[in-house]
Formats: sequence, C-alpha cells, structure tokens
Amino acid sequence: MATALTTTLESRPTARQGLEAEDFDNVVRQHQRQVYRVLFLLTHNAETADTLTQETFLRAYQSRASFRGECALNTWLLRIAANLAQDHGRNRRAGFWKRLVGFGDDTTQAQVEFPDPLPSPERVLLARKELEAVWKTAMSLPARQRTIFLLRFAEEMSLPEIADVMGLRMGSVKTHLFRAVSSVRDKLKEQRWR
Amino acid sequence: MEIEKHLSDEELANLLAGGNPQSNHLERCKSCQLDVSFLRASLSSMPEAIRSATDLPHFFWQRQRAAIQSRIAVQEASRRSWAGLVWASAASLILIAALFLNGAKSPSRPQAQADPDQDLLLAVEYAVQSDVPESLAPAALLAEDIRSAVEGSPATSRHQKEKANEN
Repeated sequence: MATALTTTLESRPTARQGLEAEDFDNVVRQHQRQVYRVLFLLTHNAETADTLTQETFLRAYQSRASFRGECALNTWLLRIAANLAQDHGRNRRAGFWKRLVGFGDDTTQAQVEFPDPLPSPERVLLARKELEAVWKTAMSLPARQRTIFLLRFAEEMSLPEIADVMGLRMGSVKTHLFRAVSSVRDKLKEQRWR
Repeated sequence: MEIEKHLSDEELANLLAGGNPQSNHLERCKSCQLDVSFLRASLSSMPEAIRSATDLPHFFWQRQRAAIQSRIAVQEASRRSWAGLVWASAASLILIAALFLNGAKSPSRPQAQADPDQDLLLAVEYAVQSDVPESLAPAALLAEDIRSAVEGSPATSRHQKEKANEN
C-alpha cells in the first residue's frame, strides 16, 4: 500500500550529471547548502558541519568517476556526508575519555542554537520551546534512529532517499523511524506532564 | 466486547509523515487525536527551524566554495606532481633497460664490401715487396705502376720522372 512514507524516488540523472571537473564548482554551488544543513543536523556543530561539508565535496571530487547516476546527485553527496558524520561521531566518542576530565559533559555540544525567529513574540516563544523540546528529545535517541528521524522530519527526505543515503534497506529505515517516533512521543509526553 | 487498540508506532509515524490513517480509530479516539496533533505541531516546526539556523550570509557560502576550490587545486597539483614523477621514473627505467639490452648485444661493425681488384693488388704488392728475385724486378716495377695508378699521386709522379729520364 502506498503511503507517504513510501513516496517515489526523485528523478535520477541519466549519466554523470555535472560531475566533470570543470562543472564541479556548479555542483558545489547547487548542493552546498543542503549538505551543510544535513551535516549540521547530524553533528550539531556549525564549525564541524562546515569542515565536513568541505571534506564531502573534496571526497566527491576525488571519486567523481565512480558516480554513474544510479542515484540522485544530492543523494550521493549526502551519502558521503552521512559517512563522514558517522566517522566524526566515532572519533568524537573515541575522544570522550580524553574530554572526560575537566571538560564536562559531551552532550553540551548537542545544544543547537536556533536563531530568534522573526516577529510575533509569545507564539514564537512557545513554538521555540516546543522545538527545543523536540530537538532535545531527538538528541537523546540512539545515533541511527536520530539520523533517520532528523532526515525525515527536519530535512523532509523520503524514506527511499534516507535508505539510499544511509545504505540501509527500507524495512530497516522504517523500523528505526517507528522506534524513534515512539521514543519521541513518550519523552515529549513526559515533558508535557512535568 | 473487543477493546480497540490505540494507534501503533507504525501508524503514528505514517500519519506524522503525512500518510492517510489506516483505520478509522483516529476519528473516534480523542487521546490519539491529541497525540497526533501535538506531535505534528512539534515536528512541523523542525524543517523551518533548521533552515533558519543554517540560513547563513552569502559570504559564508562564497568562502566555503573558495576553500573547497583551493583544497581541490592543492590536491590536483599534488596529483600532477606525482604523475610527473611516475612518468619520469618510468621513462628513466625504460631508458636504462634499453641501454642495458643494447649493451648486452655484441657490437656489430659494418662489414666493408670486399673488393676483389684491391685484394689482388694487395696480394701482388705483397709478393713484389717480399724477396723478389732480380729477374722479376721489371714485374715489381709493373706492380708498383699498377698500384700507383690505383692510388693516384706519388707513384704516378715517380713514373713520369722515370719516363722523363728515359727520354
């Protein structure tokens, strides 16, 4: 049964679209915002997202010959970005013990600063509080659930796209998403009744 | 009496993602309706929030592009220099191998074409210059003449001198 969770794949390029060395600047121009946004979502740190965005395009340039248009260009780029974010997360966890002494809790980095939205004070404040609550809840999810949850609800990617980016099967993506939604629901309920 | 179950996580996730309800439970259940509307409201602000959080000034993106370009340029230069080094090494190896193979072969000198007349002349000259009996002296002179005719100058002039003396 077709549901919103199984929306169709976006149209795919025919062959090596825009991946010649001469056009690479255009590729960067077109996709840098989305790559940065996703990396910001996954790393929760602006500086890291910037560095990893650069690294993503560098890796894409290095392996541009391997892109044969089997998936959308942005999906391919986001796959590289997601792998880099995953490696970064691993390295960060490996450095946890080093930071443990003197530098406090690792989770402080997970606090994302949202800019003050434009006008309408009370409503905006309330929305902002809700958003921060969702964000905080999302941050407490296991890494894979969190990534899938954020790609679905913050980046609004379809499940097939997420499966492509994460290199997972659709069924696995769905399972992770259902678990994530369930955890978020429970935690938000708890916070609401506190 | 059958107890109706609330929405499962799967149904809830599907609804949150904009899908249609798979049963009409939601229409009857106030609790699920509240759940869905609360979560929907909370999640709906996420895309906008993340977009405004990453809505950075133009110069940020320009700087980022420049950084990417410069890193690519550095990488390309390094790749080219490596490629140059590899080519130079390969060329040197080929040259060394060629020299080695060439040196291994015995040098072959070009063989001059044997001239039978010249050989005959040399043989005669040799015979003449070796111990020649007096009786064969004119033949020696004749051989000398022939030789000088072949070689040219000095002998010819001597012959002319002798002719002049005879006169």
